[in-house]
Amino acid sequence: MSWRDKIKKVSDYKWVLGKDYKQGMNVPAVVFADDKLMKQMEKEEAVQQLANVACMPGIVKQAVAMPDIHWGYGFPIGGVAAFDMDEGVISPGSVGFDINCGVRLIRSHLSYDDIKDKLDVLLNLLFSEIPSGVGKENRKIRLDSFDVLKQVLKYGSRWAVKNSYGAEEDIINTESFGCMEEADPDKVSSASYKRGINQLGTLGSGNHFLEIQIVDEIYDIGVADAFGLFKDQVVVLLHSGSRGLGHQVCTEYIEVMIRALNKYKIVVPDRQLACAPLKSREGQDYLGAMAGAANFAWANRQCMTHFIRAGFEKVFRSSARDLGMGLVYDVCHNIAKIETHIVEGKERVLCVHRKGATRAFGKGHKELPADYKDIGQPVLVPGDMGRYSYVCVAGEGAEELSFSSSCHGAGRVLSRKAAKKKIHGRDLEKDLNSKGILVRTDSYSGLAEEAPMAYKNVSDIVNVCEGAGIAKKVAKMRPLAVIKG
Amino acid sequence: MKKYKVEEHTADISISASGKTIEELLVNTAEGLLSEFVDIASFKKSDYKSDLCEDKFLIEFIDYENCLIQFLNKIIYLVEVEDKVPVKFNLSFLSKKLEVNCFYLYIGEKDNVKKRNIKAATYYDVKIVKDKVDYKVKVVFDV
Repeated sequence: MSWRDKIKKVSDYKWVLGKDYKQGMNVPAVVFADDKLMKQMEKEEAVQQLANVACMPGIVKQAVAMPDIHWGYGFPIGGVAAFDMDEGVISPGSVGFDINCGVRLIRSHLSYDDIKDKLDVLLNLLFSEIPSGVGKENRKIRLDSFDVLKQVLKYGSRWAVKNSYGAEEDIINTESFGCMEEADPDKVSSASYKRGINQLGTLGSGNHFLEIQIVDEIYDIGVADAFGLFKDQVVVLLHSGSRGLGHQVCTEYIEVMIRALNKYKIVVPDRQLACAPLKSREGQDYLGAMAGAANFAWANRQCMTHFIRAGFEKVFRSSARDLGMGLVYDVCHNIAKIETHIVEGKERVLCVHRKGATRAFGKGHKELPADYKDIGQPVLVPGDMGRYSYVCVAGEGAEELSFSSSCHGAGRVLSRKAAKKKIHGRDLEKDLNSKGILVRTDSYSGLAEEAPMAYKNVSDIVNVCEGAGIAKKVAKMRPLAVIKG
Repeated sequence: MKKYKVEEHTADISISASGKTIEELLVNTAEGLLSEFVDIASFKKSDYKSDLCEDKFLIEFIDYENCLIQFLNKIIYLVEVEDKVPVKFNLSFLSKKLEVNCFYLYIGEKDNVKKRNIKAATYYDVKIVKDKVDYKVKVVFDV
């Protein structure tokens, strides 16, 4: 029987696939969606992949799918799963290859009128200063040796700030303060170091981007004010991750875990979900390596932030501080983290895997920076390059509903091949230009793959999150200029 | 029958391939991967830093699916990190080991011959099956 016949709607925004759907499921699978999004989900097998996740050992309470869930490999993109520290596992494929792929939002004091005549010059400058696209290396940041790279993996954003790529406030407004303490650079192979050593401060390709945006609408003036956001404000949204280093870490540790399956007598429905007990040598080694790659990603986004600020400084002949270019927040959406959650009324320490899902700690959480403690964590939700992105704030219900997790984007609806059949990259550029959106890319084929029509409408996604109580809308931004990786 | 075919996949790239032997299946899947990875048609003599070179590597595997994915991930590494584009393989199995002689072109930092970044080959639903004639497999690559 298909999952489509078994899944039950339990409220306007929540669906449950009981653990009787499939032999081996340890917990139910919960999907946050409205009727429209569920119809889209029925066209592919992401929910089947979620049911496979529910079969993993030591999974606690439920496997969760965000409304932007889509078909991945092994663990669906937009999935969340939490594991018991003793009975549970850690799984590289359930984090994904782009470890700590994430988003950061930089605010400014500028408004549209300040930037409109300089946008073209600014975009050209940023496109030249921040390497983007296939295999690009950064010739401005040359790490002398693997030993220096080890420091990046150990200290993340702190390394970047210490080396003049940012300010102390950036660290405060970054998830985990830009550094996972579990990082163990010695658990990262030389092949991974080799794959990442020249890529610090680079955007990458695929769905990675840098966008100059304008705040189009404010939904909650009080929270927006606390986040430093106002209508018609110019902001910069950056999406990138751990580049080749993270990909190689994941590739190698999946092999380790495949061998661990037999060793620890673990059965999973899909090898891409290969895992090891959290406290095993294999599990701890991966945690150390993954945290190192996560720290690399934070340093990467921090270094790019420095070059974004430098570009603005040059064009506006003013310091980044005077331009008000502070960090609203930086969130990661591919990660496994040790966190404390309330499960059935009891506080439990769990290993939460988020693959294409954003941490969403509600107000009062001890890991939030002081400025956001009484408000809740900013949740950054990029959309597609033709429509909108959102800033939300973690909802009161996120802890109970989704292990304090929210959506991470719009979610694909068309394959890359299908998108390219529908539109050519140069036609898309013209179309975006006609809407007042400037574009720079070194791959028009890649641009077509990321066409707005390839994605769900991000407004539908955040509306479900808001309706379900996971996150609340604060501001909507629209793109003015896009650098596509 | 075509050696490989690029299939629809929502977020990533899926390649199905066939071969009369496991060795042929591995090579055909690799060709499918390289067709999405590198713009072979745009290669010019000036893009090469040298003539054909040879690399040898050994893969220890649990089963053929595990062998295939490790083989493909090694190719991804060669292209992404070492700027080597394999053009020919000689494969020989010895029990649970695969010895690979890989003949490649060194492209240096000519990023323009790379069509896209490919992060890795995944194990998602990978199953090598044999019908009356051919071995067949489908592999999803994260891009």
